[in-house]
Amino acid sequence: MTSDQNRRTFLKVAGSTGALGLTGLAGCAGSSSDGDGGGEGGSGDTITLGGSMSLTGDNADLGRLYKDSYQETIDRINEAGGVEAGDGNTYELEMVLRDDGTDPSTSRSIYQELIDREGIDYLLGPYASSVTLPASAVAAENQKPMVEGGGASPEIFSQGNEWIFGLLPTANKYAKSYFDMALEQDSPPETVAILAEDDTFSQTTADGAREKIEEEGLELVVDESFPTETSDLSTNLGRVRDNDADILLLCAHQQHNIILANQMESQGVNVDAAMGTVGSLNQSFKGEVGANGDYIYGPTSWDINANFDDPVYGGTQDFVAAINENYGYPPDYHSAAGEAVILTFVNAFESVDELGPTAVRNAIRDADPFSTVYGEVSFGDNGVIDKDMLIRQWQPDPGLQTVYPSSVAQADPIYPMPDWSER
Amino acid sequence: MAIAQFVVNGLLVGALFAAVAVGFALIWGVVDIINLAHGEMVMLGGYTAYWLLSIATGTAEGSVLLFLATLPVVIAVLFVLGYVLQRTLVSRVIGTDIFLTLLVTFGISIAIQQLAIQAWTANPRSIQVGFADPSLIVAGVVIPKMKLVAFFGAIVLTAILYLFLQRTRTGRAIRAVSQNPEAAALVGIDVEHTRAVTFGISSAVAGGAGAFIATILNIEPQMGLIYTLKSFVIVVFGGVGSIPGALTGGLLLGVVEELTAGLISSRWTLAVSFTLLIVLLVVKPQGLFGTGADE
Repeated sequence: MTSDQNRRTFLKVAGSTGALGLTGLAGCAGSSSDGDGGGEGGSGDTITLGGSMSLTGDNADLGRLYKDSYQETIDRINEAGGVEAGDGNTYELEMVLRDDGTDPSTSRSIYQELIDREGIDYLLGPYASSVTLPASAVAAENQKPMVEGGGASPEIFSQGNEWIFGLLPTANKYAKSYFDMALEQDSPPETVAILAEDDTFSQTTADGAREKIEEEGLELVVDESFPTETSDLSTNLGRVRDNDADILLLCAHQQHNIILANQMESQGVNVDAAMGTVGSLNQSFKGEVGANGDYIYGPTSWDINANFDDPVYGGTQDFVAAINENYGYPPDYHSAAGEAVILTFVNAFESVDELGPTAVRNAIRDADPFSTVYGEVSFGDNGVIDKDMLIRQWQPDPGLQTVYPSSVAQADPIYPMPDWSER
Repeated sequence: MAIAQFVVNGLLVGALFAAVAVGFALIWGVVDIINLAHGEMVMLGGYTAYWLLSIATGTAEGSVLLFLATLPVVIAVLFVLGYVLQRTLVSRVIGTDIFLTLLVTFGISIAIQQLAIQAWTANPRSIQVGFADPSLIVAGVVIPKMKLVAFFGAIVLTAILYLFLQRTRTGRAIRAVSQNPEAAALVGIDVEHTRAVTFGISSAVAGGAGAFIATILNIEPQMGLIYTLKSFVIVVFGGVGSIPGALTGGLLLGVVEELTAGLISSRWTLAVSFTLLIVLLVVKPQGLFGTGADE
């Protein structure tokens, strides 16, 4: 083969490889599935809550957490006599939850059908931001309030939609508590480094962090974004070291958290604190990085060890015990957010003079903070829960601990984290 | 000083890129196949070392000697895999349309990726190699010890491959097949066997590089594509079929990427390296090592 032929071959190949690569990178959409099941519309002494959920398909495991939590909470409320609404009547709650297979268009048509055919006025949100966004548009078009615990994309709440309420903190709030925690320490940080993956979620997290840094008068000494494909953070970590950043924030997923923990050690990067926004609290992260993962922080919207008061269960630990006992698994933040979805409606039903979608929507929007197993619930102007993340830290002994806020902390943060030479 | 650090970072990681790319260049030159599954051999090499260490120590942690002890096994496993892939699948499409060979190797890469996800999940993993003091500091430049080991490991793998091709009978047969398969057959060389051996050797070197990558970066089932793409760029830098060219190209790519990340931003690394690729194709299409490249 001559060199010229090689070049021509290369050009053909490079073109097709690029195309193939792009095809591979493009990803694929979720599969569709039909919705079935049935339910009665609202009758005289029953209030029906309806929605779609990922009960089959890729997210079925997570969808089940919401379904079980909704059902358990509704059953308990009914067993205790139902909801004493503000109109003076007592109502039983009923739920209609249909399978959307995590498909946005299936979900849309389920909501439309629930509203048109079943006459349902109060909507339970679906799971995943991609499904919640179109579903929330159906709620707005039909002027029915929707409360959801499964979509955290800020896009859902930036459409001027007054009918959607979300219980997951949006990405821009992920890093806020980390700064609050660090600023409460004896030697608070003055300089910050941000390393951010260039996907939408991580960039939104970084935007929120930059706002917070400015608000607190901290100095941002390193602010670097890197492509998702990056497998080596040495040069960026070298910047963190050379600029003497006090604390480090990595806005990225688990893969980069692993690289961060390992390369902080090999590059000798000593900071007072380091946090990864997603995937730094998983057992699999710690399994891969071993002792290099010690002292790393991560945010979570809920902690199974927390203990918040709750009108239905008594407290968070009673909820944990109930889910464990009746469904055979420990609840996570999806389950707790699911419980809070139901309580958000119940709280509104109790405070309106007359039941109706608009009155209930207004009551949800204007509600004073109320306590649930998920924590305190109240909503900001855009419909997102006004809730800060909890901060957890990998401590050498006994392991993962909630360290902030102090009201739910299991241990004090180990701050500053020891230098690598002292470990 | 910062620039010296970027250059060192680039050289350290560039040697690994080079070790991956030499195998890619070899298959291209000898078997006349663009192996889009080459990056998957890197991934499988990383996982083989990871699981060997896990079996030996219970966790994927160990001393550097223990890690190095896994390398012969990794190389043997990947050699056999490459040999079998060539004999059973790739050999059937040699000499047909180039797009058919591309599709077959692309199909192999997707199949391997998916099997790897099924077998080991998509979680990223890494090998922990323990050092009492993890890095050296030379004139203010930080050099992680494991990266230095990986750098020399990659250079040694590349050098062994070069010497093998130059000095051994099989190496000469490989070069003969790359220059003229018909004439090679006439003088008694088993062309099919030689091509399969080439595929095996290329996979083995890529697997060895993958094992080092698992110690300094991390591995996951879908990591292969980026290594295949980098191999393209390196082969264009260095010239098709040239091992010294691939080594230089790899080091150069590493340095260019790190300088870009350091002086501009990590976001620009891929854009800059692929722009360089286009410029080189236009200005010096025969590669840096020109027509003298020994295919």
